[in-house]
This record gives sequence, structure tokens and C-alpha cells, in this order.
Amino acid sequence: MIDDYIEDISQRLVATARQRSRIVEDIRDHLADSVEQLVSQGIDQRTAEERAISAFGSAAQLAIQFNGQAAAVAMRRTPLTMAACGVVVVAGFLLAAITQPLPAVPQAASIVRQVAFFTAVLGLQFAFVAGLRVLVRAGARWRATPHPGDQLLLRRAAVVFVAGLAVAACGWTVVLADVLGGLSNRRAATLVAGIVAMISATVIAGVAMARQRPRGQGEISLPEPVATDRSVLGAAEVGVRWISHRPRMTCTAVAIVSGLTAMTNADTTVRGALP
Amino acid sequence: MRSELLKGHLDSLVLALLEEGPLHGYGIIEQLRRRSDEIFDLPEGTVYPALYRLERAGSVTSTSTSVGGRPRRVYRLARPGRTALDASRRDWLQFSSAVTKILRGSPA
Repeated sequence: MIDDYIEDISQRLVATARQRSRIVEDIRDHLADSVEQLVSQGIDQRTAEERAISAFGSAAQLAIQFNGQAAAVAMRRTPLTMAACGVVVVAGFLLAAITQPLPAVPQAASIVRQVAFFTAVLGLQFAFVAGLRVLVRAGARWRATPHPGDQLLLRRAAVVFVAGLAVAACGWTVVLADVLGGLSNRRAATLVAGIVAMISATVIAGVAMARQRPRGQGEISLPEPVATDRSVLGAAEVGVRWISHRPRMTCTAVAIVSGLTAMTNADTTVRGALP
Repeated sequence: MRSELLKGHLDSLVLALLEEGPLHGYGIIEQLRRRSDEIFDLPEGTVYPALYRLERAGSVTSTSTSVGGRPRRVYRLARPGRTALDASRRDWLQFSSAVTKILRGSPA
């Protein structure tokens, strides 16, 4: 009976294997103590187990409490992980790009390279806007307990962020792979290192996003949010909220401007498009 | 007593119990019940989210031991927990004194 109860709680938990094992260990020890105590009072084993479980509380309610904490922690950690991944993607791109030979005479890039570069820039814009939205919201909530609405926003924005990073990484990979053939071994190795960094960071961001996803609807219960304050963070959040209400317009405008800037550059190779 | 009345104070109560010495989860629940003359009768499982929250905040530390062949986690008050407990004691005394004054009603 106790095993079934513990299994029920365990199934409802949104936790890593280590956290789950710790929670299960604590509950098992607690129930064993409780049953021992009741049996020592002359209650039979089965009734003692029933009473111990009943006193411990409903599996669903306890899972909600544990998951609420896990959600709060994920909301605070995931944006930082994602921001770090975004920085690594950009750093990987720069690492690969700065090692490219600067042609003495500007050359027209191939269509594949132009399209890939434009796609990469587009992806990065989406990732940037979504990432900014997540970071500011997470920052504003750092001092307060998150709200289910915040969690939903974070999850949606995280999907856009990771998708944007993935598109950017793939696009840049195509651009850089296109110029890989004409490089020395040393430059090619740096280029490959940059590509690996970008792809790894994107995968890590994706894993971070997947790990904050709850198992089922209604499993997360968090208190009401605090009102946006008048601090700098609060003001930033107001700005990001304005963008958040117009995400397509913002992303499209930024992407078109930067994409056109890059494509109309005389030299649309990667180095040529860099400032 | 309605359990929601206790919820906001559970962390402070746990810290206060741990101030007297290390305890495991079951011990904490038992102490809560005994010391409150059975008034605090929460679902026993609710103490664990509170303990994990306090541990994450650095207010308590835990060590795993073995008792009767089964693993047992014992919680101890840490220095930040002592500071938090002092602050929450001050706040509570101030708050409860104010509430008592009002609930007692104005003198005739």
C-alpha cells in the first residue's frame, strides 16, 4: 500500500532523478516511522499503513507543492541557462567568422550563403526578442514567487528562443561550411570549433527548455503574482510587455532591417557582414 | 486550526524547532503537534516542501544517516537560518501584538 502511494507521488513529480529519489527516500522513512508508531499502539499493520498515508496527505496535493517549488526554481534558472547558451552561440559564430580570410577583392556570395545568412539573422532576431522577454520577466520575478501565467509565458518564449537559436546556428553553419573548403587546416579547425559551440549551446538550451515542462496540466500551482513595480526592472518589463504584445511585428521589423542591411552589403560574406 | 492559517508561518516554525537540535521530517511533525497541544495538525507531507525550500535558501542543512537499516535525512539549522529566525521572531511579535490589540476590542 505504501509502495503504491509513494509510486503515485513519484509519478506526479516534475523533478530530476536525484530529486525524485531524495523525496521518495524522505517519504518512505517518514511513513515507516509513522507505521511503527501506530503498530506500537496496538493497531494492525494494514490499518496503520492506511492511517499513516491518510495523515501524510493526498498524493496530488503534495505533488502540487513539490512541483510548485520545482517550477519556481526552473523559472529562475532556465532563463540564465538560455542566456548563457545565446552568448555561446554568438561567441561561436564570432570565433568562426573572425578566422575567415578577408578577400582582397570583394566577392559576391553564393545564393546559398546569402539565404543561409539571412535565415540565421532572422532566427537570431526571434531568439533575441524572445530571450529578452524571458530574461526581463524572470528578473522581475526573481524576488517574488512566480505565477502560472509567468510560467506559461516563459515556456512559450523559451520555445521561440530555442527555435531562433537553432535556426541561427543552422544558418551560420551553412554559411561557414560554404567557405570551409578554401581554408587552411588551422582556420578550418577554428571554424569547426565555432560551429560545434553553436550547435552544443542550442542543444543545451533545448534541454533546459524541455526540463522545465510539467508532466500534466493542473500539476503546477503557484500563488498570485506581485504587481509590476516602479524600479528600473519594472520599467524594463513594461517595455518588454509592449514588445510582447506585438511579437510578430517587432520580430519581422527587426529581421527585415538587419537582413536587408546584411544582404545589401557590398560583400555579403560573413566577415563582410560583420561590423 | 485551518491549515492555510499556518502555511505562511511553517518555515519559521520549522526553523524554531531546528534551533533546539537536529531533527528528521517525522520528528519535526511530531514536535509541531506536541508543542502546539495538537492544534497544528497539518498533513504530514507538507513539512517536506518547506524543508527543501529552507535547504535551498541555505537556512538548513541536511545529512543522510542510516537508522535501523533504512536511510534517514536529518536537518540542522544553518547560520542564515538563525538570522532568518531572529527576523521572523521580531516580525511575528510585532504583528501578533498589533492583531491582539485590535481583536481584543476597544476598552469600554
